This record gives sequence, structure tokens and C-alpha cells, in this order.
Amino acid sequence: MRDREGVAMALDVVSAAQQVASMTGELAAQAARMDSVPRFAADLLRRWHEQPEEAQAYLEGIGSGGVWPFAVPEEPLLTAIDAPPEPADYAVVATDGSQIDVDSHGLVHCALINTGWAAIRYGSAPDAWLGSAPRVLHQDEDLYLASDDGTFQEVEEHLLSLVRTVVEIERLAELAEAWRDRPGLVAFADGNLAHWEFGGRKPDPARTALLRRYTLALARFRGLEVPVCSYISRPNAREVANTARLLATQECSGDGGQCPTCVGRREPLCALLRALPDRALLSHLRPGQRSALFRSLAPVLDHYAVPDRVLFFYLQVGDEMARVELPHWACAPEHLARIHAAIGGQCARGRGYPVVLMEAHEQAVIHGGSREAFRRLVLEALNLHGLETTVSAKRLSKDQRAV
Amino acid sequence: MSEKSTAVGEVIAVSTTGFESQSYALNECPPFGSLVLTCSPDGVGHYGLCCGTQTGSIEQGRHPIAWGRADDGDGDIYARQPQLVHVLRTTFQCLLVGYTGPAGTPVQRIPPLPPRVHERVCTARADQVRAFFGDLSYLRFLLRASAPNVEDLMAASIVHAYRAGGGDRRFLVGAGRAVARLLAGDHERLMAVLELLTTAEEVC
Repeated sequence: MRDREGVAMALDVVSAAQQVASMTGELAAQAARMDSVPRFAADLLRRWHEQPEEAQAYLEGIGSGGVWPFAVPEEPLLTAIDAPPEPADYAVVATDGSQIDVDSHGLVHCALINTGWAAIRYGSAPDAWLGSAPRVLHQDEDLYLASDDGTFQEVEEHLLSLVRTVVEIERLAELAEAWRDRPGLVAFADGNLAHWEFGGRKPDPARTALLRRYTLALARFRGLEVPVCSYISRPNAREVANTARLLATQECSGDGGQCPTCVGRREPLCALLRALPDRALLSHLRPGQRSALFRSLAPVLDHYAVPDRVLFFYLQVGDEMARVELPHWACAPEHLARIHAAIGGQCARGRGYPVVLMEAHEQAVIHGGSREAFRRLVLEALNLHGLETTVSAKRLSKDQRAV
Repeated sequence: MSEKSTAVGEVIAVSTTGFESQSYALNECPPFGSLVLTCSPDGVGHYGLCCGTQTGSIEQGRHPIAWGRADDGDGDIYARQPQLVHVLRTTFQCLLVGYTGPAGTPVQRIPPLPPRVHERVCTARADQVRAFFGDLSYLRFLLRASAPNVEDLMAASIVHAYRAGGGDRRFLVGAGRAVARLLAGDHERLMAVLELLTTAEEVC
């Protein structure tokens, strides 16, 4: 590619700019079409808020075979519950992870998972424990996951992410066990507890094996009676929006055609609900308040023990809406209140984001310098043992960028 | 029974003329101008003069921000954010001003080898301070090393020795004369050091 002066450029910025302009034009048009949707959604939720049993019964009747994914409200739709005060004495633990993928063009066939953790106690005996543990995956059983049918699946980037997810929850369970005697302990995972990525009702054999490890680790919190939750900042999930869409369809009189509410519109309002993130439907929440509890219907949850199946709520934390997932057993009032209070306290201490998750992330993250250090470590170890230290021609070409 | 040396940190970087240490305790470090000693396994100690300190994030790219409130008391912030002591660190820099010779006496010159990374750094005992500052040749190093705030560092080191020696005015006067000889051609800098020495005597 050459620009107008004849200088070679990797990215044709002019062409990209035209496409960006087109994209933003479409976004503006979409925003205009969505103009009346939040009001429509608010009225809809208000009506169904008054008849929670009917909403639940109707949605239960659909099961998970209808629009996917949606969630069943366990409380009236517009529930808003204030955060209990932060306990005077409590503790939190969290894990996070990062990875260096297998580089098939690199020096050696290996990957690395770095698990970071933070454990912090507040109150009468403040204390903190931060750390990380790297694990180099290099043996065949680490890099090729065996299936029941005797075949092997190579651990590529996505599968390695799942291995990391499992290692993170296992480490979190260990931390919960180590700190279980601290008062008011709450365990935080980063992201989801309902992991769609493991697959649906029938995950492949490699994912099935990982899912088994994950669910076993998740069950440990129940045994320890340490409430566990996961935290997602600015989530884009649309399960509540899809739920609203189903409720709108149920009360629509259009019977497949135009209903009076949507006369003259290019797209019916209920169809446009699809494009809203859940957080846009929960504007009734004030800072600190949590939404109703919703029961997730993700097919992967069929593989979870019944008490560990995941529910979620949204939480208004000042500048943004967060999503919190938790197992069914942790929705008991005393556990739920403890989780809600701990998140409120953590976000207040962390300027809108839980301190314990921030520190776990800082322990886990592998910056560019550390990635290079790992590469050099591998290179030196190979040299020391007189092993081959060549990289592929492609990697060499990319590194040299010869002109 | 002799006074014990107190380990205050650990060497984390070295060069021919100085070393950097990390304090064992956050927000604590040897005073500016004070004498420290490293302890090497072979028994050779290196003398350093503390000439600077910083407290900041352990990791590059993380920046301390204000977490406190206007009505906080001392230490409140560390009780409310217990992880801070694990992600912040205090470091201090020392100019190398000598090493222990074969007889265990201080030799004031650039050591043949600097200390090794991870050697412990101890504050010098009063007897070590007295032994080291019996000779003021090190003042020449400070001028040659073109350390920042060198006049303040000269004065601070002299005051440190003066206090360790129990406030012996003869030492102070002798040190003043030594500084006067070294800065004979630079009246402004000489006066800066002497003024600092004068006020030091008042606050001692």
C-alpha cells in the first residue's frame, strides 16, 4: 500500500477513516431509531413488576427453547435494594489470570498461565496478602487434552483461556479455605461464573473435563460456606432485555402483524429491545442499589450442581452499572447481604471498582517487559542444555522487519 | 556491650560510585547525609552516604493517587487500604565513600568493587561513625561526584558525625576548616555550607 506521496504505509488511514465515518453514521441512525425504546421498556417493566408471579410463570413456560439467552426474574422486575453498610470488620479474596499463548513459530512449544491473587482484611486487624504464581505448560498432557474417545485436542488460545479460568477458580477456592476464619469473608472472581465458553449442553470432551474441574472448585465455596461472586464492570449482556422482549411479545396484540403501539414504525419496539444492553433497562437503580435477582438459563448450567447454578443481579456503583453473578446457595439473605455490602465497600475504597479485583489483576498481568523476560529465560535455558534455539522463518521475518 | 547495627534495607542496584537500596519499611530510610554500611559475605563493608530517597509504586506504570480524606488522621489511609504497604516502596540512594580495609578500619576512596545486589544495608553505629569521620577526605569525593545538592550533603554528613560524636565542637570547627580549604575559590558555596553548619550547632 502506498499513500499519495508514494510512502509505503501498513494501514490505509484514509480508507479506514471513510469506513469509520460510515460506521458512526449508522450508529447515529440506530440511536435515533432507539429513541423511544427505553420509555417503552420502562412502561413494560413497570406493568410486569406488579405481577411477578405471572411473569415468572410465563417465562418458566418458555424454558430455554425460546429466544436465547434470557433470564427468569426471582424478584419483582423493578426491585431496588439499598446496599447494607460496609461491615466494620471483613475480608475479601480475589484471583485473576493472564497467559502467554503457545507460539508455534517460537523457540519451544510451551505456554504460561500466571495466576494473581489478593486477600485483604479490613477493620480491627488490617492485613493484605498479594501474590502470583506462574505455571509453564510444556508437557504433552498440558498441551494436548485427552478425550474419552482416545483423541487429543491441542490447547490453543481459546482452550488455554478456559484452562486459565479453571486455574483461577481453583486458586480462589484455596484462598477461601486459607482465609475462611477471617470474619465476613467474600470471594470475588473476575468476569462470569456462568461460563458459556465451556460450550452448551454438550461441550466437547476437552471442555467437559475442564468444566468438571471448574464445577468441583465452585462447589468448594459452598462446603466452606464462603459466599462467592463474580464481578463484571460495564457488562454488555442482554438477558434482561431479551426477557423484556419476551414479555412484550406476550402482551402484544399484533398477532404477528402491526400492533397499535408500533403503527408507522419500521421495526416493532419489542424487536428493538434486542439492541439494548441490560444496564439500559435498569435506570431506576440509585447508587449502591442492586436490581432484582435473575436466574440465568445458560445451557452450560445444566452441568453445574443445582445449588451452584448461577443467578445474577445488577448493581449501580456510581458511574456505572456492574453485573454480579453468584451461585444459588449464596442468594440466601445473609450471604446476599454480605456480598452486596462487600461490593459496596470495595467500590467505595476503589473509586468505583473493587480494590481486591484491581490488586489481583495487577498481580496477574504480564506486561511486555515480562513477556520478553520469559522469552529470554526460555532461550537461555535451551542454550544451557545445548538444545535447538531456532524460530520459524515467519517469526524471524516478523522480528527483523528487514527493509 | 557494643551497639548493634540496624539493617534498614537491601541493595537493589549498584554502580562504581554508588548504590540504591530498598527500605525494609515503607516511608522510612536513613536520614539525608547519614552514614550506612553494607554487609557482604566476605566481610568487606562498603560505606555509603545517604543522598536521596523516593517513595512510589513498586511497579512501573502504576501511579500512587490520593486515597485519603481531609479529616484523616496519621495512618488512617494505610488501615483503610492495607494493600498499599505491599504495592509501594521506599528507596534511597547512597554515594560510595569508602570500604573497610584489611584491619577493619575505614578506607576513604572509591572501592575496587561495589557492593553486591541484595546485600543488607545497615545504619552505621556511633563507633563506626566516629571512626569514619576521623578523616574528612570523603568531602573531596562529594565535590568530584557532582552529587545534587552537594553543599547540603556535605553539611548534613558533617552534622551527622557531629551528633554521633556527642556534639564535639572541635570536630565541627575542624570540618568547617576542611570545607573552607576545598571551596576556597568558591565563596558562595562555602558560605552555604558554613551557614548550614552554624544552624546545625544551634539545633543540636
